[in-house]
Parts: sequence; structure tokens; C-alpha cells
Amino acid sequence: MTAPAPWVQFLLLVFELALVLGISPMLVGIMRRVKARSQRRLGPPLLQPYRDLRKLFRKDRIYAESASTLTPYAPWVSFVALVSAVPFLPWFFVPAPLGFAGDLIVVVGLLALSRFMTALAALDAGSTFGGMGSTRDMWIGALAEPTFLLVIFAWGAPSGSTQASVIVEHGLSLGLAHLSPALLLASTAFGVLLLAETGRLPVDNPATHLELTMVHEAMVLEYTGQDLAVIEWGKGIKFVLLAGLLTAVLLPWGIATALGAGALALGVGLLLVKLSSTAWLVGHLETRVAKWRLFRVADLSTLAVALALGSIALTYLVGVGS
Amino acid sequence: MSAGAPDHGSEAPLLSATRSQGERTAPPPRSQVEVPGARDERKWVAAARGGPTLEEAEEGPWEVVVALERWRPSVLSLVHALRFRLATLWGENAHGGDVEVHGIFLGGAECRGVHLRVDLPGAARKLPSLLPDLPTALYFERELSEMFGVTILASPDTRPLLLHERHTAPPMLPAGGEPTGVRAPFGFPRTEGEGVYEVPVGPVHAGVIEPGHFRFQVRGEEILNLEVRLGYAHKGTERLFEGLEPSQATVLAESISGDMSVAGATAYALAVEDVLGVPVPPAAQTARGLLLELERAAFLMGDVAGIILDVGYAAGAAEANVLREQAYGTLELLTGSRLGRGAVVPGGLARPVPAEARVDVERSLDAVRRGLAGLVDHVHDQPSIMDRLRGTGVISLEVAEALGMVGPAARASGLVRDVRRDRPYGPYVHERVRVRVASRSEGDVEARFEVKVAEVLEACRLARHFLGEGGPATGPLISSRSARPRHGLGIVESPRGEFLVALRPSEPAKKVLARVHVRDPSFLNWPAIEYAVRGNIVPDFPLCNKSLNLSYSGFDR
Repeated sequence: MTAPAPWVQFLLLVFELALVLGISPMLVGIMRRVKARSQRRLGPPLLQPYRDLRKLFRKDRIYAESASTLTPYAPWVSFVALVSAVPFLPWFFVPAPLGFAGDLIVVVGLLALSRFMTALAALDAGSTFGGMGSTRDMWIGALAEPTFLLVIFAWGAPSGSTQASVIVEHGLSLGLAHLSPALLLASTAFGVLLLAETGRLPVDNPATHLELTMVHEAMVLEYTGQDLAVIEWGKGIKFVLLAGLLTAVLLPWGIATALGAGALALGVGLLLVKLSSTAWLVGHLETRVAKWRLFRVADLSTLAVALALGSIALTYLVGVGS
Repeated sequence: MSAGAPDHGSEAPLLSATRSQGERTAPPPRSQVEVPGARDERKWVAAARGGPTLEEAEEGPWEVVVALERWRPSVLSLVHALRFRLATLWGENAHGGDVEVHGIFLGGAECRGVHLRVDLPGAARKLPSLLPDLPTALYFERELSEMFGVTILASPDTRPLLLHERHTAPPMLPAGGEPTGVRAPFGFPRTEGEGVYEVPVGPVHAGVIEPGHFRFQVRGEEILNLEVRLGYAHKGTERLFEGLEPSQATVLAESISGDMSVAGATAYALAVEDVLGVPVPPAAQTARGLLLELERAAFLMGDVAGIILDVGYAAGAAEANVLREQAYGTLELLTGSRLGRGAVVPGGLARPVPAEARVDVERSLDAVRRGLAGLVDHVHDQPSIMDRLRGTGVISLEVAEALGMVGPAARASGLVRDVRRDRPYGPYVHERVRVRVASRSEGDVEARFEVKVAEVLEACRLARHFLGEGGPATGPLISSRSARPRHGLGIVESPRGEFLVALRPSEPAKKVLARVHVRDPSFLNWPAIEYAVRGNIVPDFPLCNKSLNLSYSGFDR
């Protein structure tokens, strides 16, 4: 499988970026819709998150008097960090455009950078809620990031690589045998991680108005206008990144390995189906659980770590994975 | 009914049976009925009055006037030796600039209670504090101090309660008091140490709720201390009553805590009927019972929904809110108002309850009962919900007793008080009405949740019982007997607990109201939240708060 010509690579990259940026508000809309239906509400239209973004982009940015020059830049750095992770992941074509430049550990680093900037900015204005939110989010991050790495190792163990493209190609080459117990364990761990990383129930309640219980929302209380727009958008992108990675590794079928109109169209179509289904699933899961007591989140992370370790053990010790 | 009395059994009818021999309608044959323990109570009253024998014709609470130096010992002997509890304390302007302090103490074998009065001469207006022996008195004394300019001697806390920095002149004195524009620091307690920080929340909150300021001292996520500051919703309602005719002021009583309109109006109506001797048709009393229980079911259904929502289980909360609206819809069907406004008036009801609604009401009550039973089963099966409720926001029995808590919150801590059973009024006087009082001993959010669920079911049962007795709705609003007490007293078990109205009409014609004092149950229960949250983590505060569901407006008035 040879890499396509540079200009094709570039076109693919642009298309992937547009796709991820464009679809992320829709997935937020799907999750909200599913939750609304579970509460006997009609819920907002699926396109409402786009309208919200348009509204926020038209608004001015306002800052607390106590905020330093960090505050105006932080959301944009955080946003760019998330967007930068897009070309490292397999979407509808492997190898990923920037796959040669970095593996999944780079993605973990970019997500950490995004989280760090948000938490730092939350502390900047000196408001209590910002401080509370950032300590909670860093704590969740401290639990989630090592788990993330473990899952990457578990995923990469059969192919011996932490490159997303290699993992996906290896999976595709196995056919249905790809769905091994080890893979399922690691992917479950990643599912738990996805809920924690994207601030969904039972870890964080994105719909709450109770400031004292907030994690992510508490950190961004100080922001408005265009800043808030990129924060909200970034949150959606983060969900797409993680959901995209999970579906690409777990269900790689449909991802094109060679250029061709039919293969690419199938890849894009299946990607949209995979992402929407994940959003629908997460929305349903959220209606089934209550928010856990804050320190119980550690139990959730313990579970994820155990699953990931179990997956690695299966691969290496038992040899089930490959 | 007093604290710690062995009345934990939910069906102990001892007290209600004693009382339901007949109230008001027929003169109670009290002299023939020998109530165990009544002798002590009567002996205490006789001694406090300085010797004269008690007249058998007396009704209502024993009225006792004590000298200033006997105030503290009298109260403490009543509370500690006779196990009475302080229900309320209020001030009144007397002639010549004097201030009278009145206290209602409930308890005792006869459930009549004691109405204690002490006169403070105008020049000094000094009253020895009941603290630290009677913690319940703290908020009452602070209010007395700011509203009537009474100096509370040896009080550990002399900060204002309802008035904020802009007030300095006591607004309840005849001269009144206008905001002065002078600000002074309130003086929140401070906690210092490594990693300790403060979290100020409010008075404006993110949800659409009432205003109140919460000051947390926190270490990490652990709450070390919480101080609540209220008064943002102070409207001077007690003073608005003054000069109104009794029939005009029901709307004020309804708006003390707007979500308990029926209970407020009923307590006010009972007080007016008490002091004026107004006869109330039995059918009107029964209809009041129906409205009171419907309000309780709707209100507590809202609490159940709120608790489920605050643990983030929105789907379950939506189901609970459907049932809540069903109960409120029924109230609207019967009264024309979702909150039951304008239905209960002194003398009876404003309009008879429409008889043709009977079937609809029965159907909704059954729907609420069935729906709630199903929902609760489902909630019990959700470990993620039950884990959040269990052990959160514990209020011990000792704290509940010391604060004089009332209502479902007190009953969840094992303090089993319910006016409907202990001091039956209006619709509950009838012997066939047996209120089954739910209680738990854990005092945590789960216990409050379970008590509230049980009370919704019981309210539905009682509402069905009250349903469908026709007859005249309103009696004449005239004074029928001359020998009435000086004060009218109305005590009602509202959804939040004991709601008390004490009022005095102008003398001698009794045409208008001279002084009305309202004690919302939240006035007694608010301090409990400061104890409930200690040692809990910050994100569990909203859950503790919602499980108590305290009224800001009722506290501030």
C-alpha cells in the first residue's frame, strides 16, 4: 500500500478537516435530541448547534478585569490543538495524511495540551468556579490519560505499532478475526474513557445548571462570544476525534486503502454512519445512568485500566489477539 | 409530639384520639378525660400564673404572662422539664412604646401548648437570650432584635437576620424604619489553613430559583463550613397585613411561600376563625382537606423530581414531573388555579368544589399513585442513583431536635412530628381521618427521598378519603362568641412542615388586623442545611439542598 501523491494527500487532509469541523455540531445535536426524547421532550432541531455557533460568532468577546492576556488566546490554542489531531487519525482512508509524522501518542499529547490550556484559562480570572472546574478536570485528566495510553498499547499490540493507520490496516487484513476478545476489552475501556474525556454522564453532566457540580462547564463560565463558540465547537470536535478513533479501530471496514471514487465514497458514508451511531449510543447511555459522585470517577478509571491491562495480557500471554 | 417522645410508631393514634373528642364545634369535656401527664402541665401553668386555679372554659394554648426576670427560667423549665418545644417567637407593639414578646410552645399531654408573653418596657427593651440552652431561639431573637430594636442580652450572635446593610432603624416599631444607605460588613466566619478556600454562591443563582447567599469554606472538595445568608426576599409581609380586614388578607398568607398557597391560606383562615369564633361548615373543612392533600402530593412530587434531576437522571425526573403536573392539574380543575390560590378563605371555601370533578380527581390520584410506585421501583433498581442518595447530607436526630426542625425533613431524621396527627385541625379532627406518618431514622438524602415518596402516596390516599362530600362551602364571617382568646392561632402541616399563623385583631371591634405573625416551616429548617453539608463534597451540595427544598420567601417574608 503505497502512499498517494503529495497533492492528493493534501486534498484528503483538507477534506478530512472540513468533514470533522462540519459534522461535529451535528453529533452534539444528535446526542441532545436523544436525551430530549428520553425526557418526553421534542428537543431542539438537529441543526440547532450550528445556529448556536453562528450566534456566538457574531457576539463580542468580554473578559473579566482580573483576567490576564492568556484568557483571550487560550480557547484558540485549545481549539487548534484539537483540530491538529485530525490528520493523525484514520477517517475514511489509510494511511492518514500525517500518519508518517506521529502516532496516537501525539494525539494524546494534543488532547492534553487542549485540556491544559482550558484549565489554565479557567484559573486566570481567579473566579471560584473556574478554579473548582480546573482542579476537577485535571484530576479526571490524570486518571484518563494513562488509561488512554494503555488502550493504545493494547490496540497496537497485535500489529506492534502505535500508528493508527497501521493498526487499522492490520485489522482490515484480518477480516472478521479482527474482532478478538482482546480488541473488545480494549475498546470497552476506550468507551469508558470517551465518556470521561468528553464530559458526558456519569462523569460530568453537560446539561446541568448547578455550578457547584460542574466540571467542564465551570471552567468556561467566564467565556462568551467567539471564544465560547470555539470552546463549544472544540468540545464537539473532541467527541468526533475520540468516536472516530474508536470506530476506526473497532470496526475498520469501509475505510479505503486505495484511491478510488467508489471506495472513498463508501468510506465517507460509513464514517458518517459510524459517528452518528456512536453519538446516538452515547446519548442513550446518558439517559440510563445518574451522575456519579465525583470521587467515584476514579472507580470508572480503575475499570478502564483493568480492561486495558486484560486486553494486553490476552494478546501477549495468551496469544488470543493475533 | 415533643422531642424524643416515644411516638415513632407511624400509627400511634394516642394523641389524635385525645384531641378528636371534638374541637371547637362542641365544648370538649376535658375535665372528665384524665390525660396522663396533664397534671404536670396544668401544675406548671398554675405555678407560672402565680397560683389561681385554671378555668375549665379556657380553650387553645394556656396563656401565661411572665415577668422579665422569669422569662428565661420559665422557658427553659417548659422546654427541658416538660419537653415542650419552641414553635415561634414574635414581637408586638404595645401602648406607650413597650414591646411585647410572645412565644408559642407546643407539646404536652393535652397538645394545647403554652402561649408565653413577656413585656419589655419601652425605654430599655432588653431581653436575656435563651441561648445556648435553646438553640431554636437564635433566629427568632435575631429577628426580634433587628425588627423591634430589642437588645438580646448575652447572645452569641447579634448579626442581623433578614435586613441587610441598608437598614438600621427597626422597621416594625410604630415609627417604622427606612433604609438609610449605610453599609456595614456582615461578618462571615472565616476558616484558615493550607488549602482552605472560600466558595461564594449567590444570591443570584444559575437556576430559576429564589435568592440566597451561600458561603462555603472548602478544603479540596470537602465542605468544612457553610453559612447561609438570607433576607434578599424580605418584603415586610407581616406589616402589610396590618390594618386589613380579615377577609382581605388571604392573598398575603398565600404568598408567604407561594408554592404552599393552600397551606398558608388554611393556617391564616384557622387563625381568623379561632379569634373571631367563626363556624366552618363540615363540608368546607373536608374540601380543605382535599385541597391540602392535593397540594402536598403535587409539591412533594416536585421534590422527588428535583432529587432525581439533581443526580443527573433527567429521564426519571421527566416522569416524576409528569405526575407532579397531573396533581397540579387536578388542583386547577378544583380551584381554577394551579397552585390552589383563592380557594381557601376564612369561614370556609371561596367556592364549593365542583362535584362533577370527582371522577377526574379520582382518576388522577390513582394515576399519580401508580406512576410513582413504578418510578420508585425503577429508581431503587438504579445503583448509580441510590449511591448518590445514601449517606449524603446527614442530619442527625440531635441536630434536628436542637434546631426544632419540622416536616418531612425532621421525620427523615427520626423526629416524628406531624401537626395533622399531633394537634389535629380542621379536616383532620374527624376521628375517621387517621394520618399514617412516614418516618426514617437515617437523616440522609435517601431518607428524605423515601419519606417524601411515602407522603405523596399517603396524601393521595387522604385526598381520596376527603373527596366528594357536598354541602355549603362557607360559613358567616362574623364573631359568634364574645369570650375569645386575644390571639388567633392557626397551625397547619404544610408540605414543608408545620406552618403557623398567630394574629391579633384590633380591639375592641375586631374589625381589622392589628398584628399578624407568620412562621413558615423553613424558618426552623434553614439552619439544618449548614449541618447537613458538613463533611460532604461540594458537588453534593445541590442534592442536599434539593432534598430539603427550603423556602427563601417563607423565611424572609
